[in-house]
Amino acid sequence: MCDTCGCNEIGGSGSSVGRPLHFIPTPEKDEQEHRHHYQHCHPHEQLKDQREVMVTENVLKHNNLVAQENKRFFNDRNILALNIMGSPGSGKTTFIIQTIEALIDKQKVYVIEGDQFGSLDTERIDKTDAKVIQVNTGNGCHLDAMSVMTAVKELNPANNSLVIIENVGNLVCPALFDLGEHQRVVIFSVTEGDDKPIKYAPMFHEASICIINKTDLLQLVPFDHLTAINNLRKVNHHLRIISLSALQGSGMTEWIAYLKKSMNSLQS
Amino acid sequence: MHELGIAIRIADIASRVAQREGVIHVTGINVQVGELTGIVPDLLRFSFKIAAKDTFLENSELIVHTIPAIATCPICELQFTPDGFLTICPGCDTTECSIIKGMELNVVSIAVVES
Repeated sequence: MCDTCGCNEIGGSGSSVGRPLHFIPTPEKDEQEHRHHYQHCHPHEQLKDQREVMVTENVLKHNNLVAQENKRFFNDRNILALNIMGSPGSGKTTFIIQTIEALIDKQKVYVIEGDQFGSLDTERIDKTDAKVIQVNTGNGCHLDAMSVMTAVKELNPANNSLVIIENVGNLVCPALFDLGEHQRVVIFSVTEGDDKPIKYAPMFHEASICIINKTDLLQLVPFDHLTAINNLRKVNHHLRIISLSALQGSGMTEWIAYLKKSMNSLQS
Repeated sequence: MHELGIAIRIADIASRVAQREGVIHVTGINVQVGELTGIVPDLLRFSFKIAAKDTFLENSELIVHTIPAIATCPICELQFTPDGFLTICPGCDTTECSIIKGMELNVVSIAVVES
């Protein structure tokens, strides 16, 4: 494959799915086969005095650099940071409130609430003892590292605390954006269907933990728990899967135990 | 529709490089988009037009080069084309494969005309 333009005779189309690649080009081969980038990729002729300036920069470089700064901030203060993602209505805020309630006696918790508009979730979390800040993204469909950095500075979380970032309800866009978190938690609920890991694979592929929420409704919806877990494993074999009902509380113990263990390992 | 945010970043990078090079005519911007990034090339091109409107990049062409996905098997070391993020090894059926290509999102080069 050409590293300059990505032209590749061997793949890309759906028909090659699952077929082994018999030929992975070496850089030397690329050089020989592929010198005239513009002439073969694009119909227009190269203009006089036109030249190509090599850049090779990740489009998300700025976001990723700020995310690294966020992570350094968290690490310097022994703060565990979670990025909670999932569809609108998957139960993210209820899950966060239950997590706060289980920990708040012994643990300072801070929440960054990402929503397109309004502050309804912030008002819900404000009733707990956690300190919360609202970030409205307007037409933006995800939080980015810069908005999290601004929010974190304002929150000024204490050492050894937990920072929970509730991303905008969206199973697509937030997957691309590193916020500097330690763990990416994706929540999906049984009412959404057991096929979601396959249909929204990038989100599940990028997560480290998956919460299957609303298990109290399992009897009422056509959701096969084993199928869901198999689908998750197909997309991400590293994923830690915890099934629970944030509303009823069942299964929360496993999550809280895991969270405490994560905080202890960060602070040791 | 996160393509607009990505398009704005691409325009930022191209502007910065053009200024550094002291040129004001950027005819093309070559970007690599891995097919597993979830970025839709048509939407990205459309978003770039919005991002570049009323700037010196207004007439620049965004040239999107799609990078096909490749996965590799840790057991039999086979490299293969995965079915999206479903990485089942066609050689030994293991699901514990890793994606090694298809997540790229890079500005590779810009084509400029000396002013």
